[in-house]
Amino acid sequence: MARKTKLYPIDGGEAYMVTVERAASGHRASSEAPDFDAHVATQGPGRMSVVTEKGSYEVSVERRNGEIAVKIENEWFRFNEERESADIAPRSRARAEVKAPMPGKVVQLLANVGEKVVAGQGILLFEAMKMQNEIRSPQDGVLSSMAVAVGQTIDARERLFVIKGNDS
Amino acid sequence: MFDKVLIANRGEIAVRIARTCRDLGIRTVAVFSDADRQSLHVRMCDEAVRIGPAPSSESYLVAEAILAAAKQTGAQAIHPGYGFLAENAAFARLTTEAGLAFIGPSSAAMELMGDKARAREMAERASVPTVPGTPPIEDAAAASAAAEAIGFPLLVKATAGGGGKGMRLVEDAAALPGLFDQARSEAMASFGNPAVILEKFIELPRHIEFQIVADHHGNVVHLLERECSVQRRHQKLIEEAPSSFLDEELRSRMGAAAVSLASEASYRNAGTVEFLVDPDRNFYFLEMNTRLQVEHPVTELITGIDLVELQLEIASGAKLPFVQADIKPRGAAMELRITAEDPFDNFVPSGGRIRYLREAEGPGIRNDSGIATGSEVTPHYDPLIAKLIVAGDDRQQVLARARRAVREYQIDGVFTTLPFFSRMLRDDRFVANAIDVSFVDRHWMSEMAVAPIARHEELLEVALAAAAVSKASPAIREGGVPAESSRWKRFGLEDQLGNR
Repeated sequence: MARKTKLYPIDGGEAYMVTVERAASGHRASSEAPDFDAHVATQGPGRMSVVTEKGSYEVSVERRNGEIAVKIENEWFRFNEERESADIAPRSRARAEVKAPMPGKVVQLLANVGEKVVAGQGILLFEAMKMQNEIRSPQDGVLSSMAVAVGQTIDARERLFVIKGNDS
Repeated sequence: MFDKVLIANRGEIAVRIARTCRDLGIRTVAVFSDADRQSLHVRMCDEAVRIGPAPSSESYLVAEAILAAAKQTGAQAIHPGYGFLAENAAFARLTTEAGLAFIGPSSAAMELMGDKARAREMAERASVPTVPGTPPIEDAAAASAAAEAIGFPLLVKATAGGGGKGMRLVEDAAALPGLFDQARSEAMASFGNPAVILEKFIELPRHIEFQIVADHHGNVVHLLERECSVQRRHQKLIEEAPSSFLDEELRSRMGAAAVSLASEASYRNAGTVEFLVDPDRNFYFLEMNTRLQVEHPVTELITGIDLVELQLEIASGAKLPFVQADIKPRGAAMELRITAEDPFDNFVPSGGRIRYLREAEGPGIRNDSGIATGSEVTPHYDPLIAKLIVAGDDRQQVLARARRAVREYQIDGVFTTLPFFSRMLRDDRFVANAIDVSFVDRHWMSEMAVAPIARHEELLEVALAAAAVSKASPAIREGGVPAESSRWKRFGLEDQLGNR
């Protein structure tokens, strides 16, 4: 049975509409805009072979937090599974929780709780794999809480801090 | 020759050393931390000893634990690899005092080359050109006076430094006093030693280094050069040999300088003499690395010499089996350092489990890797996970094979530097070797990483097809098939998907 599947460009814009149906040895995926007709064979979790009229491609797919990331020939393509709803537009969400991207250690805090911060501003210095990296604020707002302290060892995806939007 | 060697390292270099030991019929002893119980190097050695918890300060850097492991297993020699204790003179001394062979130079040679000021004096004695500079300077007033003679721009450098710590670039006289004090306090904080020197800043230099080998009978030979100008913040990303920037005359002068320095220092075993080369082909001694280098396979592929085998032979007292005239390059080679870092996000380290791994293969390809499918890349150690080394008749063939191999190489589960190589190997400036050590810092994030994807329309269609199938078929999404599910269950799943 054919199934209409919507994919949303990560930077906004019109959704892509792709029709997926079962086919021998895999699935057929087709679309009118852009116009393509592809055969997709799954070879294991996240591993696919895609064959179109233009060529044969080896692809890996990762799905995480509502995002689908596709790697082809060392280039990444990213889509959202759902459209971001209008009242939580990414630029000024009421509350943005920032988590550790990987296990590591907090080296230094670069902003104080209660401080006004802007998108991209460094909030803390995080050491992982012997390298120090700034963890930045995803949006303008106020640093409303800090869940970690200097010297603390952190697991991947552990909460680091919360930014409250200017509008809230 | 030794019967049993302990490898005081982990990851790809421990695996690489173990391979040569097996080739020679030498038993190997791995050491591992709690984070590395499952790591490849443990499986690739004949014996393995736990030396402590995950942090390297409690395991791979603990000399006593490693020496105890050697004693317990009856190893006769220790190969330190690179990093960790490889350039720790005290460890080399303790190893020798314990009656074991240290596969590397003497602790005295390590101490000498580890001290920038003394290494510089040694270079001057050996008539090797050095970057115009000063002895250690104590205060800003003396620095200002000395700077007049050198000229600007110049560098303030910690004598005990490394990795850019305790180093400042000074553009003019007015900025000197402030930056001088900063460098001193950073040097004190990082190395417990505030001593700094001033040095002329060489603009747009290349990094070209010479591999040398020296036996215990006074013979020193260089094994040609490696060009390592593709660096990001002093971390090498691509190394190749020969350097297309050198002609025979310059190669022979630089090689002779490297040999002369090693002789003057009574150096033994394998080492690397690093030079900066300016656009006018003046070369200057930078430093000597007293260990096997990460990029040693490039030299192995163009000379046909197994450097680890040679290190073991030298350490057991053998004479070098060749003289300088025997060393002729065969073709060209290039190494790409695959690290778990995201090149599109300023090389931020990326940890996680290697969900899928398929290395490149075929003509001219060598893989030195420390990972396997299922390996965890942890934040405890260096992000270098594998090296892709490519050989060919000439640089052009090497570039073509490298592009093919990077496209073929599949790693899922962590971000890697493969996309960096994919773009770099196609860059006209790199292809023409018209680069210098600051090329990546100047051009990658601001230009190359944000350049549009080549063949965007074509690849977007493929990406949409794959993403749509992933979204429409929940059972085949990432993690949709649990690793522990039985083969029968998996076949059942695939059956439902019509994917038999």
